Amino acid sequence: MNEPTVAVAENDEHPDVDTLIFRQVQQLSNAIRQLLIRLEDQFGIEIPSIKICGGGAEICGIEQFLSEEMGVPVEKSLLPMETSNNPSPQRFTLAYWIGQCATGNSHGRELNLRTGDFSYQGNLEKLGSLLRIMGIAAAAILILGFAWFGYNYMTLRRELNTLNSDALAIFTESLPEFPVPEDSETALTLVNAEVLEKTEQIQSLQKLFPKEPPVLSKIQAFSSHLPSHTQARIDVTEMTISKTSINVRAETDQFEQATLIVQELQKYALFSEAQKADEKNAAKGIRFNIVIPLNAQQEE
Amino acid sequence: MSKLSSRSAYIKEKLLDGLASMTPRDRNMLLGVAIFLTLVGLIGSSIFILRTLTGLEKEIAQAESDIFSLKQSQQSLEEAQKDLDDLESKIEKYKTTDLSAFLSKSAQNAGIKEKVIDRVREKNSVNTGTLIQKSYSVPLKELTLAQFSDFLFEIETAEYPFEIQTCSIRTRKRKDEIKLRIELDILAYQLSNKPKEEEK
Repeated sequence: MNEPTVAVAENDEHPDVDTLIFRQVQQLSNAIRQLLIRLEDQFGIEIPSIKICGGGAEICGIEQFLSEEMGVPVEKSLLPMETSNNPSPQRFTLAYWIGQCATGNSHGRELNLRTGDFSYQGNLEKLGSLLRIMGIAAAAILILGFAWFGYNYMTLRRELNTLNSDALAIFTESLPEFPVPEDSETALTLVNAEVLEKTEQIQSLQKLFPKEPPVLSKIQAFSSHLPSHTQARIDVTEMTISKTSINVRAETDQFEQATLIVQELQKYALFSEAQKADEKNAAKGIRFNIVIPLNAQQEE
Repeated sequence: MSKLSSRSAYIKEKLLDGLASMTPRDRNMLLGVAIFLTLVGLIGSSIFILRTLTGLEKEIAQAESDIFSLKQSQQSLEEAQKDLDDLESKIEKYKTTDLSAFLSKSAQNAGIKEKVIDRVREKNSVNTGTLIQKSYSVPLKELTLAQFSDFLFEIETAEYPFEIQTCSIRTRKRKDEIKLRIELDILAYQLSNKPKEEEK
C-alpha cells in the first residue's frame, strides 16, 4: 500500500512545493466533487466510480486521495489514442482534441471518449420519458376508446331492447294465449308456426267445399270424352268412382271399338292413364273393364 | 397515502435500477417489447370493440327484419283466422242437420218424389282433433241417370261438410229404361268441441 505523497505543510506564509500542489489538488478535488454532485442531481443517478486521465492523473497518489475524498473507487484510465506504439504526450493530445471539438473544427475521426468503460449506456431519462409518454397515450386512447365504446354499446343495446319489446308486443297481440318468448326470433318462429298450422287447417277444411261437384264432374267428364255413338257403342254396366280411380265395366261390339274408347279417354289429361283390361266375348259383342288411375294434382 | 407514495417511489427506483443495470441492447429490446405489447393491447381492444358493436348492429338488423316479418305474419295469421272462421261457420251451418235428413231433403230438392234412401248406416267415427269424421254407407234405390245427376248436383253443391269416398253405380235395364243402383260411402264431418271446451 503506497502512502500518499501529497502532504500538508503548516506554514502558510512560506509554503513549500508540496503545500502548493496540495492546495491545487484540493481545489481540483472540490471542483470534481461539485461537478459530480451536479451530475447526480441533474440526471438522478449515483456515480459508482471515477475514472481519471490526463496530466493531473499522473500526480502520484492522486487516485487514493480522490477515492478518500469522494468515497468511491478512483482508477486511472488511458486515453483512447494512447497506445504503446504511439506514446504521444497525453496532455497535448487531450488539449488538442478538446480544442478541436470545442471549435467544431475536427478533421477526420473525432475523439471518442466513450469507449470501454466509458461507453455510452443510453439516456435513461429519455427512455423513461418515452415510456411514460407512450403509457399515457395508450391509457388515454384506451379510456377514450372504452368511453366511446360504452356510449355506443348502451345506445345500440337500448335500440335492440326497444325493437325486441316491439316484436314481443306484436307477438302478444297476435297470439295472446301463448307465453311471451324471450326474443323476436322466437316470436317470429312461433307466429309462423301458427300461420302454418292455420293454413294446413284451412286446406284440410277447404277440401270439404270443392269448387266443382267432384263425383258428378268425373261422371260428366267420362261421358263427354267417350267417342260418339256412330264410332263405338258403349254400355256401362258398372262404374265405381273413388278419389284415386275410376273403374268401369262396359260392353261394346268389337275389340277395336274397346281400344278406340280407351284411346279417346286418354286424350283427356285427367284420364291419360286409362287402361283397358279383362276383355271377354259376350252375347252381344265384348265385355271389358276400363281402369283410370286419377292423379290428385291433375284432378285439382 | 404516504405509504402508497413511498411504495410507488420504491418501485420506481427499483425499475430505474433495473433499467440502469441493463445493456443498451437489452434496453432496446425492452422498449420494443413494451411498444409491441402496447400495440397488441390497443389492436386487441379495438378488435373486441368493433366485433361487439358489429354484433349488436347485426342483432338490430335481425330484430328489424323480424319485426317486418312479424307484421306480415300477423297479417297472414289474421287472414287465415278469418278464412278458418268462415269455413268453420260453413260447417257449423249444418250442425243440427244429420246426413239422412240432408240427403232426403236434397232428393226432394232434386225433384225426386219417391223415397230413394233405404237406410243410412253409420260405420265408424273418428276424432281428428279439429273435426269429428263419421263414415256412412248409403244405398240408393233405383234411379234414372237424370235423377241421379240432379241428386248428385244437389248434394255436392249444398256445402254440406261431407265427402263421397266411393260411388258404386250398377245399371239395370227395365222395360227399355235404364235404372241405376247406387251405393255411396260417405264421410261426414262435424267440428270437434274439444278446443272450445279447453278455452272454457
